[in-house]
Amino acid sequence: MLTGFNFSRRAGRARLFSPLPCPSFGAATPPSLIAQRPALQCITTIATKHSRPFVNQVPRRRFSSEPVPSPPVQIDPFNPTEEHTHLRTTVRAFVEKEVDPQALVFNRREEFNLPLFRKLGELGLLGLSVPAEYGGSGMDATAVAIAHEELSAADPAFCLAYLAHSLLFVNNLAQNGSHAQKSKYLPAACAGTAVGGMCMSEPGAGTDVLGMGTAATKASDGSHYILNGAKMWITNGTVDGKSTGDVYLVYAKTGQAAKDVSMFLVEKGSPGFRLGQKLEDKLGMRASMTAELVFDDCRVPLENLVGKEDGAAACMMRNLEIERVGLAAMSVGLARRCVEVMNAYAQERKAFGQPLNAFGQVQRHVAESYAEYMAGRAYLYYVANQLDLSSSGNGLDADGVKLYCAKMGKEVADRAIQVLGGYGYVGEYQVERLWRDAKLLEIGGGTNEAHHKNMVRDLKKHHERLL
Amino acid sequence: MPILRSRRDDSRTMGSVVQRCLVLIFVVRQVQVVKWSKAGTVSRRAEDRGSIAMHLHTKYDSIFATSIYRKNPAVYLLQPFHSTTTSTMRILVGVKRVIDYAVKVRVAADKKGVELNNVKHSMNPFCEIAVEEAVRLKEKKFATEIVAVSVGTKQAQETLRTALAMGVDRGIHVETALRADQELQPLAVAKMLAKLVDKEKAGLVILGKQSIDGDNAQTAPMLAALLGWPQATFAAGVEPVDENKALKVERETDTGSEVLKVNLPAVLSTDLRLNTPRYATIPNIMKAKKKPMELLSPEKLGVDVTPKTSVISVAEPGKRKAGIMVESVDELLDKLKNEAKYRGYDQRLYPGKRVGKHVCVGFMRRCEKERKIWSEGRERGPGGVVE
Repeated sequence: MLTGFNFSRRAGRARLFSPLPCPSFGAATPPSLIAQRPALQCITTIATKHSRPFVNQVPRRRFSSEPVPSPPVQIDPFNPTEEHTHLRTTVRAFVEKEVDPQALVFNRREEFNLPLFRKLGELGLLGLSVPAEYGGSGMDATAVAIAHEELSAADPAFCLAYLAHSLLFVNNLAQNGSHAQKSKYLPAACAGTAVGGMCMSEPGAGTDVLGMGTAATKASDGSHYILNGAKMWITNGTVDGKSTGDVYLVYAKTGQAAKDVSMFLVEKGSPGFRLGQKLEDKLGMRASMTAELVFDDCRVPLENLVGKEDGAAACMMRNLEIERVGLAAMSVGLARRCVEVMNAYAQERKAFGQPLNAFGQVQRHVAESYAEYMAGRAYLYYVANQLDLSSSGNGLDADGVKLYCAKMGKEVADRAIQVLGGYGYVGEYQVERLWRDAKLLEIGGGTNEAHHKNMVRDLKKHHERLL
Repeated sequence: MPILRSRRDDSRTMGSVVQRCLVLIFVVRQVQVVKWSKAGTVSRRAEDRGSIAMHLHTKYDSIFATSIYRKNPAVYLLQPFHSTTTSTMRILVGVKRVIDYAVKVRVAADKKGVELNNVKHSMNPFCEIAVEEAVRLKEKKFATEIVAVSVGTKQAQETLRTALAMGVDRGIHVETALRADQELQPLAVAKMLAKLVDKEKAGLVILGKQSIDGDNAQTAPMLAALLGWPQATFAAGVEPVDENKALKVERETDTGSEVLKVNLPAVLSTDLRLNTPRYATIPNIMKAKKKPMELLSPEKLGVDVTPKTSVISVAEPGKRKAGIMVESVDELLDKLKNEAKYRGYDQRLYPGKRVGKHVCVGFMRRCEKERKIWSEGRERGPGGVVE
């Protein structure tokens, strides 16, 4: 199997190191595409502050003694800086050695691999977008996309648990929490000693998230909040299947208006907070735990309110953007693995005396998959490279990239199974699992239909001319 | 004169007359070197043991000790001994950018070498082990600073950044356009490293035992010879002893493992079993970009890197036929007696006279012996341990 991957692996990796990674990028990035990025100018002004020195700038001189490079260095959109390249190499090496070998086993057993998750903490991945003062690594949205892409190529389910922790909890708190809250919760979360998640969806409220029923009211003496309701489809809702995870960010209604939503930190063991049920028998994503969490007169201290009362709708929307980029990156990652598998198989397997890839029908599967994968990947890094984690209002492309990539991942996985035939249908050949996992990305973090709705709402503002 | 006193000190610990004579000769040479260096100027030519001269010059209280490498006569002459008063211990680590170990290499179209374009490169695995060992030695407070050196094209800086992210303090990039797998040759690299050891006043050099592209395994021994330092090649375990004045090194040999005590300064080359390199953590990757990297060239170091040999042609190895599976030892013996052809003879494993016929009798005897051992249920590992 390994030798079978060699060709595709080489093809995949070459992109990382060659100055011209693939014909359609690097030097060949059409000037028109660059010109179409008006938002970049304002972002580059913030660049130094957020250590995002890469967006469409002439690369700075790295060392004083280094001569100014003549021909201009092409910026690789997938690894805009040396640190991104380095991050990708490191995560990929980690994935090959640690994540790949366990994927089949843990997905079959429907178990979360907690020791491996803690290793992500040691590596500094859990707090990827968190400033160093809270134990994070201080990287940007592009780094988030790289980490999710690489992890998901091996094990989307494990990556989903990673996403729920590192984006929905850690990044959310890092962007919206107070200094005291961040100092209290982030170091443990970045190290992986505490597993966190975020509670938004409810049994009766998904896409219509602001119609949630969970409500928080202040106690009569004003000393704490009382939370009532239930949250559904909570990734990392449980780690062991018996109790809740360690800490959650919970959205709850605090007023009558639709947008009167607040966010609370709820710790494991809070009075009235319990695991409703572990959700069994999911189609895919079986190595990440999903649960229903119940709040029965749950007592939440006042200092656990994150941000202002009734002010969480903006936090929610801002964090949904990076979540969607993360989910799109997961789809791109699993699509890459599917292309690798089908490409290798189509070369090795023979039928009618010829390798499969000599047949037009198979050629179409492989070639279309690669083209769609690259299109998705390009869109992903286009969005990620200009997404400022502290900003909001990037909804159109955050929705768009997930909408495109989720469908792309599912279809590429489907073609991979088709190319592998019977072998594709069994778990050992990986693509069967990736196909099942891919479906979630059309549902979680916003259904396709939610993206359609949001995008058309945003597109109405640009009805005259697109940027 | 401190040198003479140190000779006396050494002679107390000397075992053999031969060693004493060697020390004497050595000290005489050193005295000459010091004479050449006159007041304050030092001969820095590595070939003239310039580093030792400088060492003598700067550390008049140095004492000299020797350690004679027991088995390999090609190396281990005599070594100067660092003064115990030094508080800085700088480790120099060599790192090389090579084609990634997982890549299946292809011969280039012009048959002048393997294809390097569009092929994933990464740090030579043995160099990774060397970096890891240096970082561990620093964590043990044995070393105070680690400097990584890479000789190669501009992309070698990526490899240096990896080393910096693993915990190295600063990097030195010696830029050359030569192909690192065949044009950049061990002697040239060793000469450049010798200059840098001198420049950086390093007290220990750790290199990979070989790079997986050229597979020469020559740089460390050559460097040790140029510096006149002791070496411990193929290290599988390193432990500071004698209040950090020496290292106890377990090294892998063809017949088993061997433990040496190597006085410092010294050159080590790392084997695969020494350690498992860490992953560079993401915060350290971010910090690495702020660490200093010095840019040099072979010309600046005054080393001629012109290749002494050239590759005429490179070809793929011939295809091997598939093997067969045997059910039992008896069947194996039968196949060996009646079907197997003599292909090669490994003297290390099967000592004995080479046989002119097709079947290797030594191997047959060995099989019989092994079968007897197995049937008696005894376990036997390969080789013994020499201490």
